[in-house]
Amino acid sequence: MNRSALKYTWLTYRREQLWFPIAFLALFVFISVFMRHPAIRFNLARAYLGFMVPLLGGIAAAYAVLDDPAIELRFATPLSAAETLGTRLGLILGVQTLSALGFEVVVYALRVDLSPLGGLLGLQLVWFTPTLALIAVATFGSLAGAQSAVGAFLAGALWLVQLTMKSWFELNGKYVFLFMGVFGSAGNDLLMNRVVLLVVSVALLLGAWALLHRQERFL
Amino acid sequence: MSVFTGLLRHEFGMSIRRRGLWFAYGALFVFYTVLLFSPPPIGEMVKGEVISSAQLWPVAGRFMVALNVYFPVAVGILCADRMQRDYRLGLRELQESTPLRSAQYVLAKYFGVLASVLLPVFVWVMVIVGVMIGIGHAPSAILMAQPVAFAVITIPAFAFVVAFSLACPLVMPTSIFQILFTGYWFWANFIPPKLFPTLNGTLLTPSGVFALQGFFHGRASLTNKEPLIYSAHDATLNLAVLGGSVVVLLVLVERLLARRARLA
Repeated sequence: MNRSALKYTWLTYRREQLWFPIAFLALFVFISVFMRHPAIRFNLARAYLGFMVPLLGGIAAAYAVLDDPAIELRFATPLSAAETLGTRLGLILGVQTLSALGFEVVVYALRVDLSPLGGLLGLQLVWFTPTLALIAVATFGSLAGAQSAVGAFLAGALWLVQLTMKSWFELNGKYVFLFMGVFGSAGNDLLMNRVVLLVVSVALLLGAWALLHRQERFL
Repeated sequence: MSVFTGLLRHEFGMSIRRRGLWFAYGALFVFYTVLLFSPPPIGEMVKGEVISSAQLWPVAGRFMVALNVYFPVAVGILCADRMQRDYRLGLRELQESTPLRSAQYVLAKYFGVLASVLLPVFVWVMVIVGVMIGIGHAPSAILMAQPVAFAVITIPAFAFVVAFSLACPLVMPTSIFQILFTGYWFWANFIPPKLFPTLNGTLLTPSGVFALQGFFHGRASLTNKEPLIYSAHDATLNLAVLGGSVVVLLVLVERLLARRARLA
């Protein structure tokens, strides 16, 4: 990925993908500072890292590729599908990563105990795994449906279905349950869950990469 | 009037032909059909069980409340670009050069989109009801109860969501509205007020639980044995507040469009 590709991505970057996660982060930091009860602070931290970061990343990813006013020009350049996906999704994932890490620093400073979510690596996987999964689903959905709204719907619906049917997924679909780590599960089931989600995410991103080669579908 | 009906028919046609709508609705139709016709623990179809006459109205209401969990999310996300696209494609400029009034435009757009998202759900609901009668799971009297439940539970929720989906993206990016809306729907309808401050339980709740309890004396969950808390009076007030919100939103949209046209 060369400098000009990054510069073009930045110049055509949808600025709300930057300011909105920052605004959301600020809101959760603000609420966390004022809510002094440790249990409430822990629930807020869990909600932000485990639920909000994935949703923000997922719906933003639905608009990452197709919602480009210069998409025809972009397709006319020798930029590869991998570069397009890498620059667009990399920026979204980067912003979400910085937001999550920034929030962790704040809650650490507020002395919130996040150990029920796992150790240092486990805590990062709590938000990273569902975020990557929703980004992959949304990107694949928008490219498969050739409409950003399809990807946004898939990410939003999957998020809502899994949250409202938590008990059902814990019982019948634990390996595809996005929020298994968020609800404090541990052991082999959690490990298997993360492996399955990462494999599915990579498969969907490969599918998105393959779809992006058929540029005539998006013009 | 012919301008209004022409625009409404055009919007309805454009909206209902979208691939995205059928993709999202198709996924939800399959999801709900599996839940309705599968035995526990996946679904709730108990073999040989027949809905009694006394349970007819609560069952019809609960079916519609169950649809209101996920369908409005699809509606909110899919309808968010309906106003924006007219600006993006330069169509609005053309329309402003015609004698079309902005109030006519907003109403035609609103009712066109609303009809396009309601019609497929209504047809599917009636097909499901027909199958349930056919297999002997429900008495034919449900043919009367289901459209009534649809009218007081599904239509108000969709009407409320479509009004927001047309209005909000005019003042914020579409993707941000979709994120906020998905979070809002979960927060305002399904988080218990005891657990976290929420709009759930107030007269602004569009999930249909007020009408389910107040008009049909039903519960949203089969396992819930808590006493009913909303009366028919509460349900009527809930519908009035939702209707009033829709009117206020449409007036605000009309004023915003008129102002934009003046400043253009």
